[in-house]
Parts: sequence; C-alpha cells; structure tokens
Amino acid sequence: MIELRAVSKRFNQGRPNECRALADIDLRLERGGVTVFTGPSGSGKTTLLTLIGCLARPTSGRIVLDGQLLSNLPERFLTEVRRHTFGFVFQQFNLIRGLTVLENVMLPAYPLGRPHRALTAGARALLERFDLEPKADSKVEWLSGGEAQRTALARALINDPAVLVADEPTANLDSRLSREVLGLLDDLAAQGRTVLISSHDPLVFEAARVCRRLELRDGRLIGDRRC
Amino acid sequence: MSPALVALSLIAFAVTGAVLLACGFALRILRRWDLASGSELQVRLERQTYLISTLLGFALGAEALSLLLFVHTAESLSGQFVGAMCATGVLNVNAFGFPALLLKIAVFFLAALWLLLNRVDNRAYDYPLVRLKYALLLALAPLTAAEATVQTLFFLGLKPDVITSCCGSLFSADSRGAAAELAGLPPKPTLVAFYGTGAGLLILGLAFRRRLQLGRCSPPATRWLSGSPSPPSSPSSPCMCMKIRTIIARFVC
Repeated sequence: MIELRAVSKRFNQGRPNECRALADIDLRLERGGVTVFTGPSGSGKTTLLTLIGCLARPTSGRIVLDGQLLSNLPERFLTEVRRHTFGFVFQQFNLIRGLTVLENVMLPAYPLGRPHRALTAGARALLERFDLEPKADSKVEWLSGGEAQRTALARALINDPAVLVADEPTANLDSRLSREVLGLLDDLAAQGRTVLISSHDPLVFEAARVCRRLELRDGRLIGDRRC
Repeated sequence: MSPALVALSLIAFAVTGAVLLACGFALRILRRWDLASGSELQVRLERQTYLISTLLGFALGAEALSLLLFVHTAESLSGQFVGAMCATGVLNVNAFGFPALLLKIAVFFLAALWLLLNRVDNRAYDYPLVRLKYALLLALAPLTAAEATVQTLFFLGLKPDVITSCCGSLFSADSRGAAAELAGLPPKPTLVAFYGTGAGLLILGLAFRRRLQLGRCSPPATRWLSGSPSPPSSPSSPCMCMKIRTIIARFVC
C-alpha cells in the first residue's frame, strides 16, 4: 500500500517564480487495480506521480510504501526501491533514439546486473507479449505512435515492478490505439499489478478496470470516486 | 616558505572553515531533527545532511592525511636547523611544535572516528547515528581551530638561527620526562611488553569478530552490540538501538 501524508511540492523555493505544484495531499492507495488521476493541465497530476514513483522528493510530508518511509531515504536506497518497485511510462515515451526496440526495453535492467542471456530472453518475451517481436531490431525512431507506446510499456515492465506509473499514456494516440493501450494496462492490473495513470482523457476514465478516480485541481485533491 | 608548509596551512584552514560552517548545521540537527516528522525543515535537513557529510568526509580525510605530511615535513626540515637531526629537533625549535603535533594526533583520531560513524550511518536507511555524528563534529570544531592556530604559530616561529636539541638528548635515559623514562627501560622486557600487547590486542579483536559472527557477544559492551536483553547503557529508543547494533555488526563482520 502507498500512503501520502500531508505531501506538498514547491518548485523554485524562495525565488520570485516559486510555484506550488501540490499542497497537503493525504492519500492511501491500495495494492492492485487501476487508479486514475484526473484534472486540468497544471493541476499537479504528473508531479504527484513523480513523487509516488520516487523520481522526485516532496518539499514536505511523507510517502510510505508498505509501511516503509520512502521520502526520507538516502538516494542510494531510493534508487533501489525505484528500480525494483516502479515501472514508468512517460507521456513522450522517452525512448532512446539510435537504440533498437530490444535495447530500449533492456536498458532499465542493466544496473541490476542480471545475466545478459536471461535479460535478453525476458525482453524478447515482453516484446512478443506486446506484438513487437518483429520490430525487436528496429530503431525506435522508425516506430509508429502505438508501437512506441507499447515499447515504453514493455520497458516499464522489464524489472517486473509491482507498481506501473503511466503519465498521460493516451495523450499522443488516436482512439483505437488508446483503447489498445488501455486494454494492455487492464491486463497488467488483472495480473495483480498496481497501475497508476494520470490523464484527462475520458477514454481512460471509462476503461473497464479503473477502480478509483482521483481529481486534482490547483495542486489539491478535490475528488475521490471509487468505481 | 616550503610548499609543504603552504599545503599544510591550506588544509588546516580549509578544514577548520568547513567544520565551523558545518557546526551551524550540526546545531540545527541536534535541536530539530525528528525523523517522524514530515515538516519542510526535516525534509530539508535530510537533504542537506547527505551533502554536508559528503563534503566533510573529504575535508576530514584530508585532515587525517595531513598528520603524515606534517611529520614528513618536520623530518625533511631537520637539515635547516642547527642541532636538529630529525623531526623531534624541528618540533623543538619553538614552543608550538609538539603541541601542534599532539593536536594533529587528537584531530586525526577524532576525524577517523567521525569518518567511521559517517560510513556506518550512510549504510542505514534511517540515519541512526546522525545526532551522534554531528555532536562529535561540535567537539571536533574547537580542536581543528586550535590545531590550525597552533600549527600556524609553529610555522611562523621557525627561525633558522635557533639552536635546537636533537632527539638523542631528548630520549636519553639521563633526561627527565616520560620520553626519557620510556627510553631508559631495559630492552628485553620492553620488547616482550610491546609485542605481547600487540598480540593480545589482535587476539581480542579476532575473538570479538568471531563472537559477532556467531551472535554470541558477551557483556558488557559487546552485549549491547549483539542485541542481548538489558544492555548496560542502551539508547533511549529500543528500536533505534536494535538498528544500530545490526548496522555495526554488519559493518564489523
């Protein structure tokens, strides 16, 4: 379970352009299922996901994962938690240009030192699962939007994380591809993973397995609906 | 001025500056550190302690090494003073030589202890030794300042026309003082005592390590490390106490 206690985040503290992205967020997220964070642009959805996923630290407040404080961990411990617990799908996919699909998928697993043969086999299995095996040796810049999104999903799963964080996963996709990606996310939730999605796409809210919808506005949580 | 003296002075003043600047942070840690709190101040302290302890690690590491440079420099300067045949003679050139050496030795051991605490603290996820580490830093600050001052006075008082006494007269059995008394001891029993103490210390260390590995540490101090009940002087929080024991045991083994 992930718990946020009075979490706030401010950028450029003490400067004229100081910006409050999140204010006093108290939240408990149970394991499993799909949770969607909604709200207009600038409401703090992405910031909240980066804090939950240990990509950034809160300005104040605590984040607890299964009873262990996360937000105060020294960087080396936080990196370990991030690598083993969270997988990320970014809005712009953030695939590394010049590398092949297979290399992109394998990349997050390199620091863990898994045997190369086992790692390659795992990556190929993921590509097969997402119908990307024929593209394994293609450069990522040659992929279509849907293929790039599925590659990003495969990359997020290479370390077998318990929590998948997806920031606006359908923002760059048409309706058909969006439904396809949401179907994949549903499958992952059905396997027992926790899927956290930020989105303001109605297609996402209406997806079958969404079990909770949290609404943000101006950095505050203003709605919490369980489906 | 020799380059070694310039280097030693720079190290001493840089380390003193770093330690004194860190003292303000150490006071804030001692007064306001509260891991249970998620306040903005606590979060900021957690971020800063990582940076400050890293910088202090380098500074105190350099300070510890400067003891060797100091002794080597004193030795190398012996040719420039009448009557000096080694470092002892150079340190006797003025009244600040030996106090500077003693202060450097004291800072060396305290800095080594601080570096050890810092290393152990950094291996845990919940900063178990953070207060102890910064309390020690407060104790270290006046010593580093005194060492930098006395060392500077020693360097400024190095006059080539001073006739100094050599180590032969200092450690002669006919002289007075602890050094002379030690020098006057009969050789065989002294050798036996010296090597016997060293061997005894080594055996104790190995026995301690073995007991830690087997989890059978005995009283008084080792019992606390192993986690046996009723430690003689346990920290206030039993949970914290267990964590420190685990970390130290892991570190030692």
